[in-house]
Amino acid sequence: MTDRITGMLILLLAIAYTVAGSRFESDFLTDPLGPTAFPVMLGTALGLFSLYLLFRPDPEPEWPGVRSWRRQGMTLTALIIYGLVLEFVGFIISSMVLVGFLSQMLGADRRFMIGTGIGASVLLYFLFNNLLGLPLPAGEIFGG
Amino acid sequence: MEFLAGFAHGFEVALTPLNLGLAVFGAFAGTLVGALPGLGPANGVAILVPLAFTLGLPPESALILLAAVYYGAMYGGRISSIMLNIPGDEPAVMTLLEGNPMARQGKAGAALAISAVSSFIGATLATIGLSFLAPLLVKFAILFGPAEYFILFVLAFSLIGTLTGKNVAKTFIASVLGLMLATIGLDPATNVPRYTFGQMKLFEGLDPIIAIVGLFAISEVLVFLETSRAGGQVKFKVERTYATFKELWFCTGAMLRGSVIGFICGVLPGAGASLGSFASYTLEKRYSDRGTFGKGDERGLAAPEAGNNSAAGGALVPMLALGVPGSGTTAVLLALLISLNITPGPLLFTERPEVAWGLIASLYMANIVLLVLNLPLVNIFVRLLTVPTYILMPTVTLICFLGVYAISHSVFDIFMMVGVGVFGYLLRKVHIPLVPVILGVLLGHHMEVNLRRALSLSSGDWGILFGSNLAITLWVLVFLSLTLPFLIRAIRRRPGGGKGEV
Repeated sequence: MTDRITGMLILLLAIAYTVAGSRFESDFLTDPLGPTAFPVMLGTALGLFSLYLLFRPDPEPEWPGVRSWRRQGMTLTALIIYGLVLEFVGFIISSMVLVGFLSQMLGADRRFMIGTGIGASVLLYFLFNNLLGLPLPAGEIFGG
Repeated sequence: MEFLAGFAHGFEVALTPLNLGLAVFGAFAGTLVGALPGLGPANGVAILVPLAFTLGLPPESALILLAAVYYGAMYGGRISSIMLNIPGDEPAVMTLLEGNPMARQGKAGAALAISAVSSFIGATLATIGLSFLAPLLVKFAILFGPAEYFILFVLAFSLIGTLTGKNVAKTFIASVLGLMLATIGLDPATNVPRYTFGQMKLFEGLDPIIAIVGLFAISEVLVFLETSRAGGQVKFKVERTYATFKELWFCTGAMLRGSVIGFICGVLPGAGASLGSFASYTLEKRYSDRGTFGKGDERGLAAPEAGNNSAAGGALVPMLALGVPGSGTTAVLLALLISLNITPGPLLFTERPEVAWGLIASLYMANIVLLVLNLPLVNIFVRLLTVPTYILMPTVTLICFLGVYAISHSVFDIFMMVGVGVFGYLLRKVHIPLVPVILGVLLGHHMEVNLRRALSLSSGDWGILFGSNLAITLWVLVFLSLTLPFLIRAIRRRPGGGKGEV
C-alpha cells in the first residue's frame, strides 16, 4: 500500500512538474531546445517510473509507531524554532537549548542533557567564532 | 615525463605543513566517523563540507582534508563491525561476517590488525591505480564532445540504477528526482526562472551542500529518533595490536584479489565501495572457502577490507578525470569542487594541477598516517565507540546547522536544509535510495547544458547523439548496463545455475 501511495504522489508530482515545465517561455531564442525540453523529458520519465510502483509495489515497509512520530514532530518543531530565534537570541543560548532538547529526546538523563547542551554549544562557539574566525550570531538581544 | 613532474608537484603541495596537518586531522576524524555506527563516509564528509568551505581553505587544502576523511572513514568502518557486530558503515557489512566470529574466539586484536593492513594494501594499490589511470582517462576524455558527455551521464545513471539498490525503478525515480531538484533556479541559457515559486532565494538554485547535509545528516537524526539505539557495548578485549607475519602471509592472496576487484568496482560510475566489498568477499569465498568461511576465516576478513578501501580510491578516477563521481561520497567531494568553482574533468589536470596532483599525493600520505592510527592507536577508537548516541547525535546536528548557516548567513538555508531532510527521511522510509538523488542534484545542470549545447551544434538535429563512434559505443554500454544484470539474474535463478545469495 505504501508503494502505491508513493507511486500515486510521484505520478502527480511528475504531471505537475511537466505541465509547469512546458509553460516556460523565454523572450529570445538562444538554443533549439530552450528552457522547457529538459524538464519535460524528466517529468515524463518520472511519470513512467512511478507507474512501476503503482503496478508492482514492494512489500510493506516498517513504519514507526505513534511515539516515534510524536518525537520526530517535536524535534522538527525544535529545529524550526531554532532557525527562527537563532539570530535574535544568539548562537550559544539557542544551541544550548536545542542540543539539550535533542539529547533528552535520545534518552539522556538530566545530568547528561545539561552537560551536552552547555558543552557542545560553548565549545563549538569558541572553536568557530574565536579560533577559526567564523563569525556566529551573538544575539540581537545582547546588541550583537 | 609529465607524469613524474605532476607527481613531484603533487608532493610539494601535499607536504606543506598546513596540508599535512589537515591530512592527519582528516584521517583521525574520518576513522572516528567511520567507526561510529550510523555515521558513514558520505555523512562524515557531508558534515565537514560546509566547514571546509566556510573556513576559506584553498581548494587543494579543502579537498585534501575531505579526501583524508573519506579514506579514514573507509578504514574506520571495520572497527565497530569487529567489536560491536554492528557495521560502522554500509561497506563494512561484509567485514562483520568473519571479523566478529574472530573477535568471539578471542582474536579481536588480530582481526583489527589484519583488517588495518588489508585496508592499507587496498587503499595504496588503488591510489597507485588512480595515479596511472586518471591521467590516461584524461587523454581519452578530450575526445568527448557535449553529446558524448550527455550520454556519459546517462550511462552513469543507468549503472547506478542496475548496480545498486534492490528495486531498479526506485533507483531511477531517485535519480530523476535529483535531476528535477537541479532544474530549480534560473535557466542557465535564457535566465528564465524555473520552479522558483517567485522566491528570489531560489533563483540561484538549490545549493548542493544544503541538499547533501539535509538528505544525509538531518534524515539520519530522524531515523535515530525511531530506534534510539544506545551506545554499543564493547565486550572484547584487544590483546595485541599487530598481526604476525604468518597471518599476513596467509592473507596476502586475498588482499591482492580483493584490491583488484574493489578497484574495478570503484571505477564503475555509481557502484562504489559497498559493491567493492560485496564482490571481493563473494569471490574470495568461492575461491578459497573450505568450510571455514563464516567462522572467522582471516582471508574472508582481508578480502572485503582490501576491496572496500580499494573501491574508495577507484571511485576517485571517474570523479577526477570525467567529473562523474563513482560513489556517494565522491559525489559529495564533487559538490565541494563545484562550490569552489572548480570543474572536474579532463581540464583539471592541465589547468589546476595543484588540485589534481596535490590530492593524489596527499592520499599516499593519508594512507601512511591511517596505518599508524589504526595499528598502535586502535584502542583509542575502540574506546570512543562507547560514546552514547545522546551526546553524539545532538552535537553532529549542531555542527550541520553551524556549517550551513555559515555558508551564507541565511536562516532561509537552515529551513531549506530541514525541509530537504524531511524529504530525505520519507524517501528512506519507502526505500528510495538517497545517493542517486545527490548525483542528480549535482549532475543535472551539466547534463542539461551538454544536451542543449549538442543540439545547438547540430541546429536541433537529435542525430548528433548518435553521431560518432564514441557516442554509439557509449549507447551500447548503456544498453548492456540495463540488460546484463537481468540476464545474469535470470541465469542464476535457473536450477543449478548458481549458489544463490551469500
